[in-house]
Amino acid sequence: MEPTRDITLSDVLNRLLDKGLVINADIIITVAGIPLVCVALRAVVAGIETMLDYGMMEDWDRRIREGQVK
Amino acid sequence: MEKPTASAPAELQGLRGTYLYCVAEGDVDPPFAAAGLEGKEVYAIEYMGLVAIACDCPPSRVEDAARVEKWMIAHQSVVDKAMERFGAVLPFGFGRIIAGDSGGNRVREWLESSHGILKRKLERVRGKAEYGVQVFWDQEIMTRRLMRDNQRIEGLRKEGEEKRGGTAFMHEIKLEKVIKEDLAARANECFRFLYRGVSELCEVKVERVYGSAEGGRMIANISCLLKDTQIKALGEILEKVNDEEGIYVRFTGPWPPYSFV
Repeated sequence: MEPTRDITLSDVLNRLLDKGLVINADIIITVAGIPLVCVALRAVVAGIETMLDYGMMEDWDRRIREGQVK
Repeated sequence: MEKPTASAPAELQGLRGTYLYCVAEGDVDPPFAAAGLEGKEVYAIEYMGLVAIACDCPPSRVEDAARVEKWMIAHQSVVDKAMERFGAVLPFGFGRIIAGDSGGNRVREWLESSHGILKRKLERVRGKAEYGVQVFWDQEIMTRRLMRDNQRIEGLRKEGEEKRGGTAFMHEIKLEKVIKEDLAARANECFRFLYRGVSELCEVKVERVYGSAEGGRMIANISCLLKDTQIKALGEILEKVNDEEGIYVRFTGPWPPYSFV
């Protein structure tokens, strides 16, 4: 059996969210004490996670398979 | 259900930052070039042989999840390209941003303070890549096979045919319980066979996220850190698992080592 590069959005999300290298929070310059840019992105990402939970991702799974990264 | 969206608060507009993709080691001559989020030019920030791959932060107005999806694909693309160029990389997850104008300096400071740890992490993944293994279980097929092949269950079933009324009902419940337990035991056995075989070969991480697909529901979801030379051996273990009727293996990769940093 050989590995495939035919990956889904779920595969990408499960790696890109909550994984990867950790960096000290204190080098993230904040405005009024909150890393606002990170918060904005997390909010959208949380939205995607919610959509995943509600099973609304089938279209996206298909799309990523059709026009795949490599 | 309303489609979830998020827009950046007013303070964010005009805020600048440095978006981070990964850390690598090596020579940036010729320069490493790639297109990142929103097509932004990717560049390298160096310190003593370590290289952080970054780009200027994309505009902070986030309109919809579909746009973020494109960003995630761009992120994965850049990390992939960096892995091709530099060999070993330590990928950041999505959305790691250093806000402010002096991101380059802050990254250099961080590379300096974390130099030893980063070098060690790079050694751990050098010459290897991450591969994903998922095992799917078709409940219908596995149940049918169990009913057909398991003599104890066949015996219990025959016994039940002769019963009536309340005893028949109780017997049915017992039979269902036995079937359920046998199937669970079989799924566990399958997982243990996979895990034992793979962990003898390489570093393994068991994922917390499970799901389902056309093949059924997931009974195993693991990430493996493998050298090229080990792929064949892993493939052989996976074929044994996949050969069984009702069980399907999905083998993806190579990935940058998100799970091993």
